[in-house]
Amino acid sequence: MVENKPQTDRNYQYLKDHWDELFQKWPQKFIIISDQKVIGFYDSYEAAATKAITELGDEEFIIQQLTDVKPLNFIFVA
Amino acid sequence: MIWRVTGLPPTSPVDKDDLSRSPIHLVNGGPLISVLIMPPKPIQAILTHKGRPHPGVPTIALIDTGASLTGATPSVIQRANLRFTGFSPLQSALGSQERRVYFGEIHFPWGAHMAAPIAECELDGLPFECIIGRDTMKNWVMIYDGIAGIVTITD
Repeated sequence: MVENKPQTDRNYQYLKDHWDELFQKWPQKFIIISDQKVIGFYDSYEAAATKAITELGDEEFIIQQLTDVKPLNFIFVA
Repeated sequence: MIWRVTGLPPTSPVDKDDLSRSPIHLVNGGPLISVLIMPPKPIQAILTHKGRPHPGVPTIALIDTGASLTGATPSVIQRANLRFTGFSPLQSALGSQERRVYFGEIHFPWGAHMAAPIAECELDGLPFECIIGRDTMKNWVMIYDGIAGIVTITD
């Protein structure tokens, strides 16, 4: 389990700051962000994650689907 | 493949005539299956190259139509050597949260497996360590027979 918070946070901040423009360019795609740059865009999470791991190795990256529908979850424990 | 599950602890495919099963098990326990959580293929290759075993983590999963994403506890994620890939914004009855998401592989008891994003979720005190969400169910036909107390999955 590899996680480097500062770099991860910077990549995630980049994503949030550029969400609208990224969504315009690649709606519904899964994008890879590393070093605060878009590395690639793919039709599936698996394709993006496999590409990121094989090409970036231990470098930090994040993958995000550019979707206009937020995931919805109901959590209720009786 | 057709698989039947109940709210009883999963051991084997459910026999429709199994008298020990009761619909109340499904109401109280929810549909439970046994799964094996593995690292994704590229990580498996790296671990194999380094001579490190990666047998996966066997655990119990709740099939949860209320969850968009499949999830697992931090313990399962760590033991299975999953790779961090980002965050997922989640809205729930508990408010809006961001969950860490990892790349993993889920193996089902009927022999199928799939690579998937797995969100970290706390499931303290529950009889399962994994939640199968709608992102996994998108590959299934699932029939919830509450009268018989059986959920049938066709994968």
